[in-house]
Amino acid sequence: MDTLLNDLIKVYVLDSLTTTMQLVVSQQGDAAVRTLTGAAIACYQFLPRDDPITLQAIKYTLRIIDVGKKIPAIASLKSAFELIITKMKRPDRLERTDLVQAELPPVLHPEFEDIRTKNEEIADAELWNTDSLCYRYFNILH
Amino acid sequence: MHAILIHDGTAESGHYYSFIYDRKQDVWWRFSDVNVSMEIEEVVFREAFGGQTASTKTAYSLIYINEFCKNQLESKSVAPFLMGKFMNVSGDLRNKITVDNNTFSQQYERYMASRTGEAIRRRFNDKKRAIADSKKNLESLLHLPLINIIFHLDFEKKLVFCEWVILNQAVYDELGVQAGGLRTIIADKNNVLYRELETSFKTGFLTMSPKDESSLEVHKRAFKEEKRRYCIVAFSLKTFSDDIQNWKPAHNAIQYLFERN
Repeated sequence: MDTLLNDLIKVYVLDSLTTTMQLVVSQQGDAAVRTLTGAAIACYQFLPRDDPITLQAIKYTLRIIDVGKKIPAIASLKSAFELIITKMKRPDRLERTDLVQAELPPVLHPEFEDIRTKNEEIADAELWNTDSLCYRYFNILH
Repeated sequence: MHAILIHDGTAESGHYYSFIYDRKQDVWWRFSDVNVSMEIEEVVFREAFGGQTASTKTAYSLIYINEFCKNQLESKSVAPFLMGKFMNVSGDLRNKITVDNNTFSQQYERYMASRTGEAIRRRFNDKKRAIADSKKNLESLLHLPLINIIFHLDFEKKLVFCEWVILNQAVYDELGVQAGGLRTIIADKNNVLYRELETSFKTGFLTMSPKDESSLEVHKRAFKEEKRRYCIVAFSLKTFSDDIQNWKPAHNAIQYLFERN
């Protein structure tokens, strides 16, 4: 399970980096910063400090800055990208506002309540219900 | 027609009673065990007719009498003649009937326990086969330990617990959840069904010690926690794949999972 969550975060970070580059090239500066911020938080808050993916993210962000320099509409965002790099490099200097808070999304509340109350020893239609977690997870994964 | 014998129930269980026509008073009497009461003809024929979807009552035998009997009965009332007949049976005969009834009850109880035990064994084996088939067919498709507690226990190699839960589910399926499952059966060592199950399953397997109970409880909690984790992972995957810019709810959820851990 820990590997699964780690892999999910890493794939998300890599996807965010390439998406940021696409947004920069298509001159969508705000969306690019927003996307890269999510990736940076994932790196410094969820991954181990020396994880190679964080180094990859820092290097890729430098490339994004280089590409952005050549696009006038993006050039002004250089400082924002550099600040993101600083946060990834020095997670010990982060402020509370740089971190996301733990919060269970409201959409998951009913499902968590079902899990809490379910008597696991009573048979259910799990394998006959394609909305069940095992099928849903499979479908989302694919 | 002199009388109607009614069966109320199914082929497996039910209740017998009868209606007898009292020629002298021109009324029907209902004889149901020790209860005797007058009944209106419309009700008699409705209950006797059978075939109604909302009723399980139906006549299974109609008694006719010949002219001679008819003439005899027109001068006598039926009810006082039949009421309390059993109470007038002599002591020895009554004792014999009571002993016979008790013997029958015990035989019936043993027979039903053997049938129920057989049904539970069949369900248990069917479930085990279905689970083995699912493992074979779905292994490459689904994350099996997520399916239910049985697959989770199997994955964790807790095979005795796994089989116990399967047997408990077989009991629930056969007797209904309200009957309390295997724990209720094993609580009474004199229970005929418990003795019946003992012929197929080892006593040590059937009985859950407090230590086993608490160990199973730990596994159930671990399985619930695993489901919560997968809910969050599935939610995060979906959030990222739907709109990677809208990452915040997924980040909040992942942080929630980290803090739970």
